[in-house]
Amino acid sequence: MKNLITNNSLSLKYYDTHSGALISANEALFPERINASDLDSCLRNGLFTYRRTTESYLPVAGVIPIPGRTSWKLCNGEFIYENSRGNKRLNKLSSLSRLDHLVERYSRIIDGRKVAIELSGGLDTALIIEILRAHGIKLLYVGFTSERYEFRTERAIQNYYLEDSNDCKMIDYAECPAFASLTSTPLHPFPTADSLYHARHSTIIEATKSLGANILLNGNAGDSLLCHGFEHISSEVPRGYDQWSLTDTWTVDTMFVPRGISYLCPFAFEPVIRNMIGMRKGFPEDSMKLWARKTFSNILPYQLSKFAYKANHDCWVADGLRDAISDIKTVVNTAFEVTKHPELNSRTMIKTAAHYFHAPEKEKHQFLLKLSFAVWLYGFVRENLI
Amino acid sequence: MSALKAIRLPVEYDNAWWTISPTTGSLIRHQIQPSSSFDPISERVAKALNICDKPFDCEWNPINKHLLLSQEKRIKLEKMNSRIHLIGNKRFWLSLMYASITTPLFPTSREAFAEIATLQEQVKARADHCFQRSLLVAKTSASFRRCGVLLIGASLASAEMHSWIIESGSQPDHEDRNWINFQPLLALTF
Repeated sequence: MKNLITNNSLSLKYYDTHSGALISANEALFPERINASDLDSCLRNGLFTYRRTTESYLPVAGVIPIPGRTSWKLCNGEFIYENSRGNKRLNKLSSLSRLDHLVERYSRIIDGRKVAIELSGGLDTALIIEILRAHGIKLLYVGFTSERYEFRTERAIQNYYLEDSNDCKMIDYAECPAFASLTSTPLHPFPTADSLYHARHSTIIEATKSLGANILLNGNAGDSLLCHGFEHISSEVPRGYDQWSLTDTWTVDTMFVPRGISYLCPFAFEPVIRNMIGMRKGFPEDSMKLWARKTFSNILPYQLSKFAYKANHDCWVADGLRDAISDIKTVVNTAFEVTKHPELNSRTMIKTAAHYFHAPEKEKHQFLLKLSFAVWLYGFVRENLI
Repeated sequence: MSALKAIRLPVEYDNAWWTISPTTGSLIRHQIQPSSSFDPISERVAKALNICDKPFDCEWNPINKHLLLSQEKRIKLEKMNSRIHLIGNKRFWLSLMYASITTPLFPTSREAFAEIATLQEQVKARADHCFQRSLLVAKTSASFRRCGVLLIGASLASAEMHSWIIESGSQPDHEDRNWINFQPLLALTF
């Protein structure tokens, strides 16, 4: 058994603890290996089992995800992040003009192609839109919207951009709440909380295709780069800010790639990370993204530069949980039948779902972990693989 | 003499109407549309509601505005804070009556919020004491009686409630980023 596992490819692979080989997602489906202790491993791994964390984690059903261009150390059965093969040096001359130069360089990738962006109505996507617009890149808009009161600030930003665009496809949140279609989640080799929102991604993929685009940009990673404090860093990108840990790998691999859409996160391009962190070097924690609002105030709409608000998706989650009760019961009961794990109790899970917003954070966290596990396992039963 | 005014602001959501009772502070679900308010909506309340609808139009300053409070005033503030907590959420109307007997210690609600945020209960569990915090600000801010509106709202999807103040086109609680997620259902002026 190797002690250091390295994935030299650009894409996510899975390490098979039985054979010691790195294999693809399709090859890494091992329903026969599933046992009750896998849920304990999931609970120990936490929500972000293979993204946005550089901690150690445990295999589930004998496999462990290894992101592209990363090395992981195997120590007493745990996999510990060792390093990334990407360039970690901060750009010495990090600046807005350097950012412009990077955009110029990377925009060649999308030159002449139809490019859509998920228009959330938040600061991060607005920044991407404005920076790309300044380089003459025309974007199509897709996303979720709502007439609900809680969504009014996002709606104002969305309307600002939609005013001068006919190429858009906005979908009402109510048509696709969180946790929709849990029983038809695509088969996947490793449990992950992202799988709980697969229907949302399917809807967005269809919307993107209906506009004739095959590249979809998103504003993920904005929180990591614009909120966290970088006052004590030296000349290297801190651990946890590698490209792989800032992008949504499950969604890309399981949802977008098979359906021919490139789902790209401009904030997670390695040179952009190095430049952005370089620009924020010396700046403290900034949960309201005041630095970004000020730095880019000349290009942002006033609603985003003059005011800092916090997005709220409670209604999307609350409605989703209410509608998903029957599916939650089905997947949790099925997972219990297979594993007999006492933690997989559908009555307790439904009780938590009903009082989700009043539950302590730890209970919410455990609920999502157990549901992710149940959804993952249910897929194998649905396909008659167990 | 108290000039407490409570404006009920019914909202339709999920095939029902929702209000907050001005006497108990409870979130109430109605099958039929309830009457709009006990008191007419004043210009001050209308302006505050407009800011709630368009939060990005409010005058906003991310920097806290601290005032050096004398020892005597600080003790007074702590005593009023204790009383407000003693009355508690369950005696909602009594809390309002107590707060409406104003004792100005701060020129505006912004300074009041900055100082009240440092009180023990607020430091320990800020999120749980938004109502007491807003009441104490309303009671101790000289400007509140003139141009402030205390709002109590709910996130109807989760049935969570929150309390905040809008004063002269701004939200004076620098640390409150959550207020925009709540729909105002009750407006109070003194």
